[in-house]
Amino acid sequence: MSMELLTFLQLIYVIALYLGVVVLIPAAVFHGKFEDHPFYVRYTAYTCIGNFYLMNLVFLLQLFKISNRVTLILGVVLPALIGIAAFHWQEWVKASLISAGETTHNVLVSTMGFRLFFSRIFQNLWQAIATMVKAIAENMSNRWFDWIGTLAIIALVCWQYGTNLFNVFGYTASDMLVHNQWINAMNENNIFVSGVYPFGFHCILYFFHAVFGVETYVLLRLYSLLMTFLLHLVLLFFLRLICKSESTAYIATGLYLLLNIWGKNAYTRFFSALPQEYGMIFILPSLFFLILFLREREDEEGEKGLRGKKSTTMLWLFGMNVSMTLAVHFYDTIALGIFCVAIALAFCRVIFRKAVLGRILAAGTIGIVVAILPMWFAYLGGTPLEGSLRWGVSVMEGRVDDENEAVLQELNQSKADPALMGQPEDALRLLTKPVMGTAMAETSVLQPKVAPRSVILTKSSNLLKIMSTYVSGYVFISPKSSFGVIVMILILVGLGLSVFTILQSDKEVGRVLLASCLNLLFFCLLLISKELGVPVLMDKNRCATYFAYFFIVMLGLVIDVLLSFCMGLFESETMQKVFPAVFAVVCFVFLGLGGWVRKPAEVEAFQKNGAIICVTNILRENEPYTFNIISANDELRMTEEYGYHYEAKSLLTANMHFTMNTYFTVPSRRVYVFIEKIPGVYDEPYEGGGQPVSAESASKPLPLIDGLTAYKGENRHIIMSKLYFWAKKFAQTYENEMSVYYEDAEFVCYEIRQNVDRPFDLSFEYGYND
Amino acid sequence: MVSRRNFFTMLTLLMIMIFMFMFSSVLKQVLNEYDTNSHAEENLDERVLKGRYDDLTEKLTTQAKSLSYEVITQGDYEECDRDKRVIFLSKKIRSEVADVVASWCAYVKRPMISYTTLSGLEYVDREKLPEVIIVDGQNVFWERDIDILLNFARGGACVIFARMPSPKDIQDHEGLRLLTGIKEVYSENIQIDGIQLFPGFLIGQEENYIDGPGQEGRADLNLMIPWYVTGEGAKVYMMGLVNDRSKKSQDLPSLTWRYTCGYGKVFCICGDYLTKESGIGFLTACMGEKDSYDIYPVINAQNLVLANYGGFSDENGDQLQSIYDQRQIPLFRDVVWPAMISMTERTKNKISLMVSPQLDYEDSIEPEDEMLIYYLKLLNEGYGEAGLSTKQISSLSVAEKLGKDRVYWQKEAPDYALRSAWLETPDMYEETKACIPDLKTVVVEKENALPVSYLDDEVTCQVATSDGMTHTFSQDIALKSLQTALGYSNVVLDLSDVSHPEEEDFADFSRRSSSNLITFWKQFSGFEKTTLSESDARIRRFLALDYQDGRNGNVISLHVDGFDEEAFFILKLNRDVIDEVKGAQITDLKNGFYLLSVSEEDVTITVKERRLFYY
Repeated sequence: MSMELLTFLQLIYVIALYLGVVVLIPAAVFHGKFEDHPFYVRYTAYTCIGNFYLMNLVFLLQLFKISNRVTLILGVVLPALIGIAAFHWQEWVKASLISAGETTHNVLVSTMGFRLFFSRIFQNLWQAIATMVKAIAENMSNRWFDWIGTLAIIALVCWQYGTNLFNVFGYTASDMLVHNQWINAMNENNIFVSGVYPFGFHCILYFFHAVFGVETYVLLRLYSLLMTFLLHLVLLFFLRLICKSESTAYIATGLYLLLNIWGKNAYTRFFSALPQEYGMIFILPSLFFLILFLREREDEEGEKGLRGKKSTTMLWLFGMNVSMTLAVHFYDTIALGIFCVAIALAFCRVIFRKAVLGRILAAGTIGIVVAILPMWFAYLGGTPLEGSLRWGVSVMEGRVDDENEAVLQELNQSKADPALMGQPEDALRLLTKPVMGTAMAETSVLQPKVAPRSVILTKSSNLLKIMSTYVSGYVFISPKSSFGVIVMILILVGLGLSVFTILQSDKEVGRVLLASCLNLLFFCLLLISKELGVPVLMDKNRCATYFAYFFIVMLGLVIDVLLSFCMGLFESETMQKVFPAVFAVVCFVFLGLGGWVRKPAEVEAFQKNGAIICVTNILRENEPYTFNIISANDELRMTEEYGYHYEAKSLLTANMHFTMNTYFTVPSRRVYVFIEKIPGVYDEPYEGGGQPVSAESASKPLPLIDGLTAYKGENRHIIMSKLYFWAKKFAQTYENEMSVYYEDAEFVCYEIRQNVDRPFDLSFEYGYND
Repeated sequence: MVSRRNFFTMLTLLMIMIFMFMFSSVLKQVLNEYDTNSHAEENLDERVLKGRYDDLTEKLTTQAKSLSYEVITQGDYEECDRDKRVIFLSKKIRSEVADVVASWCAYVKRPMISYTTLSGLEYVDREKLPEVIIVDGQNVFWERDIDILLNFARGGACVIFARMPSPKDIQDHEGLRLLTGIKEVYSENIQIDGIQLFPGFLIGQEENYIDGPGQEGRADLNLMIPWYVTGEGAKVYMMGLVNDRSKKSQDLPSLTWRYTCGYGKVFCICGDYLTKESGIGFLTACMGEKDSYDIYPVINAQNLVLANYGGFSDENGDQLQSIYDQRQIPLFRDVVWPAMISMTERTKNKISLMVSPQLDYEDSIEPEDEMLIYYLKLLNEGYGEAGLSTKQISSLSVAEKLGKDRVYWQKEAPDYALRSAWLETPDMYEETKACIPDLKTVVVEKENALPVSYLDDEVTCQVATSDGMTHTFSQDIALKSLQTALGYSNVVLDLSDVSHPEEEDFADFSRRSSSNLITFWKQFSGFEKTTLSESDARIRRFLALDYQDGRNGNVISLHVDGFDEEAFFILKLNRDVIDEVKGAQITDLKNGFYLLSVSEEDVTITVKERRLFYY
């Protein structure tokens, strides 16, 4: 079976599991509560409930150290059954149970034969399937535009972010190994293994690993597509909720996926399964339910007797989403917080009332408390804060305000981030330093000679320049400031349109548009927070991802306002319906013809494809803990639960100190040696990178550095070169016992078959011992 | 009351049932051709096979006599790329080790050239080096030969130390340490606690030969050994076990290992395994570990001989009555035979029943007429074949004893072809041959003899490889070794102690023999179970054949010279797995050993590297 086919099957499996547990089970329990709402509200509510429940269930079981497959299954199935019974007891559950009892009785007393019994079962099944198919078909014919649009968006997500999964099998961000380690530790009920950290994302992955046995490295490899898909779906549903025109949501989401204007920071992280991106899927739903709350609240005020019920549900869902952003990644909470402030400003007349504001604040606070509680308990229990959280807290406290330090902290946490490689580096070099340097120089030179008003004007002008340059450089593809200027203009247009819309009495769209514009302005300020002299709350690269996402929200709303205006010009209802669709088609045709369509990015992995192929096969072929993998550190966490791992550096160090009286053994039945024939650059580009292993590199001294640094840049080349020549020599000595397990142009894996009771001495003179 | 109609119906049903049950037994009795030996192969042309064997022996002798060092022509077999000569280096041309090496060479069809020194061969072109140099390490002029040997090994020759040089020699000669991969002589003579044999070297499972509970009476290995520590480049097959937790496995004494010296492989065998004929398996095992594959002929026969089987006469009845409460005939018929059958059904063995109509010819008790037919019928039902035993407790000559037996035999089963006999001592052969004209094979108990050989132009000799009653550690190693080399074992259970008991009773005899056969032979279940006549035919074919083999990429080819209906080979694969075999059937013997049942002269085996499931 090819790895591509395996990846496809695993992907289907993982998506099915997620949708089954996170969407279908809550749907089974709560469908009665949301049956009056449209699909996108129902879906968003179920996802919210499912995720929130799973996260907190795992948190709870982990804190009590009783998390395992049985408790997790019971924790999901029992409440689901109780919920179904509680909510639907009077309806079909009771009827079904009575019917099942009667049938069993009839079978037992032989008043019903087995033939009739089975034919009834098949008949019922057939009826259920037929009803479902009929309902779907009916829905498709009624809502064909939504179906086509949604399917098109799914296809575009798969095209943009899925193709890489089939070409690159390894982790595309080095910090995924850290997350892998943390999830592995959860198998031992050791949550917060490296310190207190938002573990929501890890809880979800751990649940699917523990319950369904999907290997963690497979989940981490494939989850990025699922997350990205969900991310676009919530964007689509959010716009669908707000916008007047049905097509606007599809146009905006399509533009987000297709427009060839984004810088790599805006979307590269979507290729990796990382907590921040997972947490992003809860930001827009928070706002989604906040707006629904305000809507329901408005309706409730109009109708007597219903006060509180529906709006409270929406408020609960809002609180859950707030909680989940913090439970997954605090950057998401910061982003949500900023958007909430913008919403508060835009909806000030509605929100700043005692009955509304108090409830929203209470819901938000409860959500935050629920998210913080597990971390707080762990902290009280003596677990220290994880590095990045410690930094985050110190930033909040204003103790750290140096950007470089912040970036350093980020780098420490994320080890290596593809988003930091390539274009953004150039952008930073091109834009940040000269512009900032110029600005600061001008300011310092001009300061004594210019009047205070002019200084303020100059400063403001410089800040605007920096802002537009940063926006262009970090968020968009062009290093020039033109995109930044366009964004500024669009924000101004958006502000104007929002005021226009509010005055046109379409208050909700206008207010959300106003909030989006304000939100973007806040993010612009966040980008230049260093220059403004305020604490750097968020790394600029990460900020760019949110910026692009929220920019599309604003763009969608601008398009919607414009489309609504145009549709108002038509008197015919048909034209009003057809016009947006035609507009959407024209839009995308124009994009295609104009060469503005973004091609799927090719994100490189930190492991060679061969390494993942070998790991997959090794896990399949070997009994647990009967093998060892000797490699750079990458496979350590991937196979931690199934086998042993030795670092290549340990082997080479033992060989470096080789004497007749020393030996180095790896006691397992099989030993696999992973060698990159063309060593990866691994986050540190260097002169001569990308070249095959060489005798010249092997002749260099072994980098005796601890940690990941030994496997970065040229160090990796040296280690791989030495390992290559070591393997060649070993294969010559043990030609029958060592063979090539897998080989391609860039990677080779050797298999050593040995006796566990008398393993081979792996240290010997191979020519490059140092 | 039962009506007449019902009565007749019931009666008919009863008759049918009785008929159905009786019918098969009656048929079995009536159609049993007990007086023919169905295990004796009629079409076997012994003369032709013996002729081929003689020709082959002469050919090998001629090649072995050639002292000039020239590459021997390998015939017209194009894919053969091996120089099959074996150089034996020992300053004593006649020694126990030399005999074992010579036997091994004869079985693997290799000419053996003995050298007392390698001086004079130092200028031989490396490409013309022989495949194997077997060294009797205790009989070599090391000052003279070590450099040449080291040079040969580094050039690609395979060196096998049939016996290791003395520890002092190893300490004194750096060249020896370089050649053998010994890092340190930790002790020249030290008591170890046991020996561990790793799988994949000899056929059979991994063993820990260490005395302890349940191993009473089995620990007979010499555990006083020199402690050699090997390191990088070595693969250890047997290692000494020491009850010292501070010692890591790498430090433990190596007893049998391979060391890669330059381009060559050096095998070191500590101990005296190669001083006994049963040690030939060690040489075969070394050859099997040398290259990516090895292929060699085997006999593929597992015999179980019940020697001195009584129960035909009522002699020694009083003693047996006092012990078993039964006399000899019912004892053998109702106790011994069922016990033996029960054991053979579990082990799947066939019985070679070496009949003793009488042991005491002076007690005037004659064998009963029907008993021989009774046992022949049972044997003919699929349990095995019959032969004669030469043992007696009276003072008759062998000829007289066999003469009386023959009269009894002629009277009861005149047409039964007696092909096999069990000789109490090898010197009884001539008289036995004279009394049994159809004799083709004899079983003897002989210390340190070739396991299988020709006694003369017509009769083969099969040495008893085990008595079935004891299975000590050294016997286990010998068994594994012999199975590896020849795929052959010949267990002889002497039942004379049952009819004339001295110490143990039959219950103990049965328990011990069953336990040994069921336990220790289970790992060799891939080999075929045979009677003596069947194994005789296989031995004749095995001794008569010659073969060439070679490997071209993934195709291993085998050509069998002197092929006669069937031949058996063992294929040892070290890296690959079998993809396809033409001309033979294959049986997996585990750990890389495969048994080939060859049905054509030319066999091709296509091997493949293991392919990954996900790619």
